[in-house]
Amino acid sequence: MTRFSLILALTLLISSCTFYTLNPRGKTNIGGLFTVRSEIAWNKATIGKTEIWTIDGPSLQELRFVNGLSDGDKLFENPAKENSPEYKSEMSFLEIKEFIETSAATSGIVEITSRNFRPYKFGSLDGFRAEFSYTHEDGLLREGLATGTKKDGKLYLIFYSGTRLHYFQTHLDEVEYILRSIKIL
Amino acid sequence: MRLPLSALSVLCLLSSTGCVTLPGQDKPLFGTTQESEGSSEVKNAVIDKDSEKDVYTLPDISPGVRPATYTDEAGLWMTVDRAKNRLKTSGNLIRDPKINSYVRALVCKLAGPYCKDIRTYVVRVPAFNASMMPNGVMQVWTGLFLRVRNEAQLSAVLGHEIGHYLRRHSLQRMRETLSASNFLIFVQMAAAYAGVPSAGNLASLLAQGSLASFSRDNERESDFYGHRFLVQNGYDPREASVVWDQIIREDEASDEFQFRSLFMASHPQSEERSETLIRMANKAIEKGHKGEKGRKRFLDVFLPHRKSFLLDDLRRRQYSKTLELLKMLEEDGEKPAEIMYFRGEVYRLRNKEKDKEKALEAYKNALEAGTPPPEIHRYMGMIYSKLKQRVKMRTSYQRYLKLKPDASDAKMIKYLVETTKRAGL
Repeated sequence: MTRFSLILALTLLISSCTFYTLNPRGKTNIGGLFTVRSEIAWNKATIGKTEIWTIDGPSLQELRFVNGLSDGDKLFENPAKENSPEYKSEMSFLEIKEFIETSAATSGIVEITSRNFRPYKFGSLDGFRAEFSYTHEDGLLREGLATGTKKDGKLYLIFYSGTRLHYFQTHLDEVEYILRSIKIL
Repeated sequence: MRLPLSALSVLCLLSSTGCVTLPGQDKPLFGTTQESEGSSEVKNAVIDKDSEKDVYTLPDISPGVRPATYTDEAGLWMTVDRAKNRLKTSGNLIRDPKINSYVRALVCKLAGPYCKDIRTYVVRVPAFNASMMPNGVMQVWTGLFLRVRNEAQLSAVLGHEIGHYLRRHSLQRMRETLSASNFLIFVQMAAAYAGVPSAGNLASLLAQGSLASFSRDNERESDFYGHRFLVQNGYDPREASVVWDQIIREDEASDEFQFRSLFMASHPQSEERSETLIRMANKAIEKGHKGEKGRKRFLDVFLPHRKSFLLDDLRRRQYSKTLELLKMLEEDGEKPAEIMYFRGEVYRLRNKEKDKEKALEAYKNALEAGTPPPEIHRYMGMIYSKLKQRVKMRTSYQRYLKLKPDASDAKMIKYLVETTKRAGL
């Protein structure tokens, strides 16, 4: 019984971990909608409909692909966010911006300020882009950018964020290269 | 897990109530409970003796005192000292100097000789709460400022928390829990409760709150202290019961139990508290006490921040509670256009049947009542867009751009105006 409990506990522990694998430089298919090209290799983990890419660790900097949210989906996967909003396919770009900000507010982000919310070509699709700054509960200031589009009512987002000190800037050029490389399939 | 449990057990075995008294301290504010009979003129004037029964027989903590290191109380303080260090660097902290100095001055006024022992942190969490750690670290949540109307009401809540510190309720709770052989759970819960909450984990905090919070006897005793602080500092003591009446109203408006106020989890029934507080207040007034509400001083500090606090409240997405809160704020009469604007926002975001129409009506009322925030035109435009009334949509968006030409979303709004116009919509 004790051995069974130990195995069960270890299984539960392992299943709760996020595993990163190496995503080599070059072309990558994202969520079946588009491809991107990267000049360097990234560490990659997948949680539900979200792919997280990072070089130095997700708390320092991360590139997040949210692939095809449907009606009723939430933006973040953490179970602490019972009251976070649900995506609706009828949302306009202005409402999607609100959806992102409210999701952030219900998941430990204390203060978020967006800048230059504007139309943006997401590959060949009409989309949006904004830059933002935010403070998490841990008190660390972070910078970020977000771009997204809708296809057949589904929402596709790319976020890049990192600590204002050092990590956001470190791979910003690489991220801009990735964004320019988006090709809709 | 075994090592910390053993270490804590040793602490417990060594337990005593010993405290180190520093030289040059003032006497306790009201005297210890045991010696309190007749120790204060104010107290004799207003105390309902039934409400000050101390079932734990612990004396009040003395000003300037830290527990001796060999005591269980010192162990308890060490646990929450770590939480305090996290709190000091938290992103939730409100750093506005006016708010901080006002709250700080009020705490000092109420706590008197304990002023330096109580460290106050204003934390940006949009819910009604204030909390006291055993080491005198007090958190005041910004949601509280939306739910009190004047300085007397705020003092009632702060005084209540100071009461927890003076009466060492955490220590009382710890010993009580120890006797139930559940100490580890207590420490885990105390550590969790002492942490900095976010709007996102309020529901889990609620569950923790029911385990880690003070007992109902502790709460009654602290209510009594809050009342005593009001009387002693020249406030109208009836305002303490008004706080509870308002919280009852808001909670009753909530259509989901999980979003009932955190205070409801462990505190005595609000109705009972309200009745006890008003009974004590009436006794004080019968005996000639006159007190003020301090409304203007309170409003001078908090009214400029109300919009930002309401925006945080809106993001909790507890719309029925926010609507009731707005109703109470409207009765208060300050900045009615801002209140109507937020009512429109609740309807727009709730987006139930007929809510678009209700939102538009609220926005129009706001525009007639005064000068609501310029964003009102963007939100009106968003609703007209949903209703496919493109001309009205464009007019609203253009008004918004005129009022906020440098808005962070100006380029997107211009794009929406131009594309619908080009498409002949």
